[in-house]
Amino acid sequence: MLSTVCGREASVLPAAGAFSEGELVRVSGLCKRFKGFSLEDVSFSVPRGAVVGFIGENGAGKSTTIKSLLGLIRPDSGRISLFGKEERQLGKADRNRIGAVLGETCLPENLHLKDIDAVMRHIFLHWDGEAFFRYAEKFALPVDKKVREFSRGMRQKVSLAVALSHGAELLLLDEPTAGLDPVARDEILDILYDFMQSEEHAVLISSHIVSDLEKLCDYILFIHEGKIVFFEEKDALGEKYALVRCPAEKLVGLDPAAVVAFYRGEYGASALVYRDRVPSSFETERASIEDIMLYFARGERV
Amino acid sequence: MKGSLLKSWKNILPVLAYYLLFAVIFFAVSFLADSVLYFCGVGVMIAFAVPLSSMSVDERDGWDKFAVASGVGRGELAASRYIFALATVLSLSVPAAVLAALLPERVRQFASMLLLCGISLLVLSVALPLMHKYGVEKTRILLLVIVVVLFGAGIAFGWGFLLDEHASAAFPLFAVPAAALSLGTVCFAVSWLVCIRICRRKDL
Amino acid sequence: MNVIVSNACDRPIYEQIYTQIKAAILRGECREGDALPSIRALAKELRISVITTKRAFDDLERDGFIYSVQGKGSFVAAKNRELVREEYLRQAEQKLSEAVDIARQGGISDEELCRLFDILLKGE
Repeated sequence: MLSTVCGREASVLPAAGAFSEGELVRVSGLCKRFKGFSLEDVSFSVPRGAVVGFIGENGAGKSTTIKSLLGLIRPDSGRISLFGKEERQLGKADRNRIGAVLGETCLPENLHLKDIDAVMRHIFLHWDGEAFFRYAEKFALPVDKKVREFSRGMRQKVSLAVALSHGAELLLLDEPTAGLDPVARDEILDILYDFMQSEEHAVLISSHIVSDLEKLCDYILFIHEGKIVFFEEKDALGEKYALVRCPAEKLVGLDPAAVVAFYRGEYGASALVYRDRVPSSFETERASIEDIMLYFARGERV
Repeated sequence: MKGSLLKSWKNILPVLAYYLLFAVIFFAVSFLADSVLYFCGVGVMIAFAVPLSSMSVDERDGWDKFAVASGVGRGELAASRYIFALATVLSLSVPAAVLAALLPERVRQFASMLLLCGISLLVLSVALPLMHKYGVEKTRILLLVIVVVLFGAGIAFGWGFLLDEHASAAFPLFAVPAAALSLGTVCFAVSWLVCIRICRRKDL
Repeated sequence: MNVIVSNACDRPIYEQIYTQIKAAILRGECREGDALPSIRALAKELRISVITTKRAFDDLERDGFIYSVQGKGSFVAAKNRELVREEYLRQAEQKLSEAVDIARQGGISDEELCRLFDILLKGE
């Protein structure tokens, strides 16, 4: 039985000094109620120069959160600030500093790339058509087809190309790699690394392909059923948590305070534990981010 | 604004030819039948169909989400649709006016034309906010019903009025068209404001 | 200088980077004043996060192997004799410790081992 209070695992906002001054995004106490789902008390930040990976199952609230940052959804309560300003007070110039890729391709699909370029020229204050076509070429996007005729992966890439071609400092990406094969995902990872060569930039990227995030991200934000489970430095997660696999009887011997969640099977048991609370008699394994997420989401609580 | 309008224009370009063909055919019919009513009737339908179709494409594309995320104000989002609809009505008015000028009983033709212009604006005033609030599909059904009713009423009263010598003698010729056009314009403006409010509140 | 990190290895990645760069410096592969890759470039190259590379660099700087210049990057520090000596001492201790383990395992007595050690030292 999953406890609804997952435990606010150190919702500590990151220590200053890790990155250059300032946070590009700061969210406190974001709440939004829908029929059948609600975001509750979501708080986190995206420091300048950092990449924050946003993980959680489908329906956990990632898209809702990102949409709130973009002004697409009006929160019931809480504060959202971007570039140090309240989200509601952002003008066009500030909004253009954000490059967004939403879950579905939100571009006119009846158009060709050159039409999209023509339209974007009048949508954004600083549209860089040359950069757009450079990305299009890099991604091998067809210029003679309508966006509707592109494959899923190509459509994701167009969205990304648009997001990167108007001078954005902050990227808010909602599942940008969904539906892409590993090669394409690696290409996108490359692009994001390039984007992050500048200390002034930051990225908030949500994905359920956790292995992608495991490489790039500095921080991991985990949301489950509308609540933030933890917001931590990725490296710290590996040090904080570990996996223990042993016979079920042996598992009982562990201090309950050491166990986050466990699985008990027919042939043994495994548990996600706090490394520093487990005696050395137990053999521990490195817990990947995906492991941590699965145990928090589906494991049994003590 | 320019971007949104350019996008709407490029979106309907593929189907523009069909609407044009339709318009041309009924232009000919009107010409041959000596009455603007045929062209204007179709004009009302096109003036309703084009903005509806454009919004339907936007809905499918998720354009509103992209636009707002890119700094296009919600007010501007609504405005671009109204301007687009108005542009459609105005561009249909030009050939209608030409027809009215060319056909016999010029004054009566102009009166009919203005009446149907007013009706277009009224239909749009109702349709546009509904589309923003409930989406295109629901609105389409609702509006089809309303258009049929209006058409029927138009045939029964408005046009019959104009065609019936006795009835039209009771009112000045331009009374009904002028009323329709004024009402249409006022409703269009009010509807624009209502739509902005709807857009501001909407979760995208 | 080659820096190779492995996810399969149990040691944290920042520690692997730290160890490898430190070893390269002590071996003399990098000379005083040589520029290290930027933190972000290295992160991209190794497909890891910036915070990880930064931690490795911070530790290297703390231990005196490198120094950073604001806006320019990180550079190899002058070889601190003490540090180098300490490093060699540590390695020697490790090897001797291994030898002791092997001897104990093989049932070789402490006196025999000391005699062996003397011979080796004199033989040099």
